[in-house]
Parts: sequence; structure tokens; C-alpha cells
Amino acid sequence: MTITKAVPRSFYKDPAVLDRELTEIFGRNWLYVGHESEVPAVGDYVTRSMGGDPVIMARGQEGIRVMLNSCTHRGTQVCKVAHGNTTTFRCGYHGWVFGNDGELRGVPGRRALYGPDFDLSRLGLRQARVETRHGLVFATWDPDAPDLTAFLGDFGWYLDAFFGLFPGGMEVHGGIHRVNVRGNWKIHAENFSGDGYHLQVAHRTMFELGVMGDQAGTVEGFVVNDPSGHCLRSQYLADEGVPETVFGYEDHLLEPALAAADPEVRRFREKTTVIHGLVYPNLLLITTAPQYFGEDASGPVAFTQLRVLTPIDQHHHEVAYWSLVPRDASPEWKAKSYLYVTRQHGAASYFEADDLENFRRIDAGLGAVAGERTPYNYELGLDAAESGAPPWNGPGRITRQDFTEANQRTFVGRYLEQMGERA
Amino acid sequence: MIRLEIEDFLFHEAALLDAGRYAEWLDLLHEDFLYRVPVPLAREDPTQSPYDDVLEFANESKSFLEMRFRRISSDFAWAERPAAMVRHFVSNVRVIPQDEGDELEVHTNVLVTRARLPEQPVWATAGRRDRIVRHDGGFLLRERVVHLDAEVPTESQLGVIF
Ligand code: FES
Ligand SMILES: [Fe+2]
Repeated sequence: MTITKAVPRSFYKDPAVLDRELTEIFGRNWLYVGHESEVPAVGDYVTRSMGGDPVIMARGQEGIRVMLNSCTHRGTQVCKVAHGNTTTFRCGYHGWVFGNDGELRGVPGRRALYGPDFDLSRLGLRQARVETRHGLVFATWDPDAPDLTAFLGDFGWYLDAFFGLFPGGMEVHGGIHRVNVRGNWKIHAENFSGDGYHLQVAHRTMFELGVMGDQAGTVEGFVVNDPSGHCLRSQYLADEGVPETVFGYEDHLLEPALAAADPEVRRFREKTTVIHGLVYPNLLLITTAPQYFGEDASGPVAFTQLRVLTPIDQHHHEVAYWSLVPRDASPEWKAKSYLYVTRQHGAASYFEADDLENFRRIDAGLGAVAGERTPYNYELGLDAAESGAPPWNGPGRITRQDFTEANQRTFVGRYLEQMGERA
Repeated sequence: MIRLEIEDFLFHEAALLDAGRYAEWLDLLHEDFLYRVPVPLAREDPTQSPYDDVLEFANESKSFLEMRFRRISSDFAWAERPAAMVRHFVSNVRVIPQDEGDELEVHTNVLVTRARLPEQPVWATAGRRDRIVRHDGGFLLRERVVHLDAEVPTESQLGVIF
């Protein structure tokens, strides 16, 4: 039996570790900030966080920028609101004015107070590097980070399959909502990376109440991971006669999309009950098509949800939730998809509470001396026999086994490596 | 006086929620009842309502609420074990006159505390916009829109019906 190294419990409660994470993890990787469809017009902006740094994602004349929401004079936040449209951000302290591209445009009393040679161009808002994929805007503070394609590695194929199925693309429905939850951010990241093991216990009531339909049939799950930390789990209905389709979309949209799709992408997406995963380090994604959330929400409707985890302190993190819908879906379908995601995975839904409650309890169980001597166990699936063959051929390390912690081991291994700990 | 009648109804309804008498609470709901908690967002323009038109923390119909309460009786409803102690403080009751029909619009302020022992209680404040209809000599709740006073609430604050 191979003993896999766990993250020490102190890493879930030590403020010095959180400081190092903000530098080594959140300061070095590409982080998802938002979606292009949230800022469709020139001047549109949203305010977000990249780890510990407040940022503005804005569309200027030259495209989308992500910049530090902090004045270059004395560091005052230049924008306080969630979203809007503007040509400039005016600092409320001494009145420096920045364009929606972040350039410093004006300084009150500039000539008289700073002299004729004062150079505004070096005092724009600090800019992050920005790249997009399928409308997802990623940014990083690290000038030496590889480009986004290299960062995503084999996982790029899965992002394409996840977000690129519909030729018209996807868009954000509404915007984001956020919640402040108890528990270190890593607990949540690890859960989404591929914990198929918790479903039948943590979420049992969801199945008992018929949310996922009868699901009497056989399901087969697989996990995929990339050494750079990205992970995903997909689960398939394996019985004879299950239709070869992606459940829960409108026919007018789905049929041409499937006809145009790469055959391997089709096999990856079709017959799935759920696909969820982690774009390392803190972007979570899930798509599923629940069947019943009450008389006004019956019949399968798919939803796609993104989440970003931002540490608040070592014992709490903020979750931001996005709902994505195919751009070409009907307004009625979009509203229904949003209703389903709200009832299953909205911050206030009682199914979401199953997970959040367990995260609280992990935090409450951290302990001190004896706790530190009791490392978490990561042995699930190390010696397990393989189950069936995955229906698709794709890149990445695919594990032919659902009840395995291969993804959690990947996340932990990459995290410890980046933190300078030997995995 | 209509306000006193309405207050009696709202205090009774709150008491049922606080006591976990959910079946009786459901009996106070109209068949088309909808419970909504739109997301408040900080806006540039102070004259705009902060409550978003699309984004919702919650959108629950009567049949969905029935599922919620059926779930509570399961041993696997982890977030309900141990059950939270919940108290509603309902005040500033205003009955907004309507031009016609037998529907009433009622605005209230609420402070709701929630304690999951042994943790300390948390509380949240909100404004409520209720639509209430007369029924069988009493009232039924037709709609409740909750205007929460927090943009980034905790999951404990969201764990109650306001
Ligand atoms: S801090 Fe922004 S102008 Fe002085
Ligand atoms: Fe879960």
C-alpha cells in the first residue's frame, strides 16, 4: 500500500500558510475572473477578487482588462459597486481619475502641484495578464507564468468539451451571487475535484426525494486529472437503451450541436448524469440535468454552474456562483435552467447545505495537538480494481474507477509542490 | 382593524416556523405560493433598487417547500442535525392599500436569529413584501419576497425561511 502524503491539518488553520498561499497559489496561477458576456459593451465592468486582491474586469476600447482595484496614489479602492458602465473611475480620496482601461487620465492640480514633467503613464492601475477561452476570462499576476493553453495542458480538451458544445457559445445568466462559508477553501476545492464517494451519504436526501429521477439503472463514473492540478469526474448511465444524447437541452439547439460535435466530445458528454471538476486552483464547474424540483420544475433541465473560491481567512471562504446557459437557448429555457440551479446548487438551497455543513464540520474537527497527529486519509482507490472502459478517448490521466481519490491526490500533490512542500 | 388581523396572522405564521410545525405552516400557503430572495447588489446609481431582477438566493414554490420539509425528517439531512433554533422578530407591519380585489400587500421588517448549538447564534435582517389573500375567514400567503440586507451573507444566515 502506498501511503499518500496529505496536507497537514495546520494548513487549514495557520494564517501564515494562508499568506503563503496568496503568494504561491493565488499569485502564480491563472485565475478565472469572469465571463466575457458579463461585460458585453465598452465601458461595462464588474468587480471581483483574485485571491486576496480586489480587481476590476472592464471592457475598454481595446478589449477586456483586469486591473487592481486600488489607486496608485494611496491605495484606495476606486470602485465600490458590483457592476456598471463607466468611462472613468474617480478615486474618492484625492481625485485621481483612471480610464476604464486603467490608464491614469487626470490628477487634480497636476501642473501646479507635481510640476510639468509628472508622468501619468507609469501610474495606471496595475494590470494583470489576461487570456480568454470560450469566453472565460482568466488572469494572472505572474509575468513568467506559461500562457493559458500551456497552463491548462490536457485539461484544455475538457474545457472545450464542457463549454464549446453549442456553436453559439454560452453566456452568463444574470451575473454572480456570493456567500461566505465556514471552512478552509481547500476543503471545497478538493470536494469538487472528484469526490464521487460522498454522493450517496452527504446527498442521500436528494436522491430519496427524486431530484435525479428514478436512477435505478447502473451508473459508471470515471475521473480524469492533469499533473498541473486540474481534475474532473464524469458519470454515465450505463444501461442498454439509454439514448445517445446530452440530457436536458432544447432539441432545436441540441441536434445541430451534436451533429457538428467531434465524435469523442459527443461520447464524453452523452449519457452523463453529471460532470464536475476543478480548474486548479480555485475554479469549480458542474453540469447536470436534474428531473424534479417541485410541480413547477419537473422534467429534465440542464444547468451549468461555475464557482470561484476566495479565501476570507483560514477558516472561511467566499463562494461566487455563475450560471451559464447556451446563448441561443430560448428565454423560457434559460429561466428554467436558472431555477433548477438555484434549487439544487444556489447558496441558499438545502441541497447545497449538505456540502456546506460537512465543510463546517471539517473545520470544527481540525483540533490541535492530537488533530495534527491524525492526518487525513487519501488511500481510496489506490488498489481498487478498474471498472468499465470510459466511453470516450481523450487526453489526461483517465482512471477507470469512480470511487477513487486519484483527483484529490492530484490536487494535494500539486498544491504541496507549489507551496514548496515535498509531495 | 385590518392591521391587527394581519399582525395576528403573521405572528402565528412566524410562530409555526419557529416551532418547526411545518405541515401547519404549509397550510397557510396559497397553492401558487412563491418564496423569493432576490440578490442585493451594490449599484452605482443610488436611486436604483439594489435587488437584482434575475439573480436569486432562493426561489421556492409550495411543492418545493414540501420537499424541503420532507427532507428534514430524514436522518441524512446533515444540515438539520442538530436542528437550528430559529426566532422571527416581525415588526413595522404596514398594510398597503390596494385599488381593487381581495389581495393585500403587506410590508414588514424582520430580524431572524438562528442558532445551531453549540455554535453562537447568527442573525439577519430583511424587509419582506408579502401578498396575502383572504380565504375561508382567514388569510393565505400568496407570495413572499425577501429583501435581505446582506450582499454576501453567510450560509447560516441563508439557512432560514424569513
Ligand atoms: S488615494 Fe487615490 S487619489 Fe489619493
Ligand atoms: Fe457535494
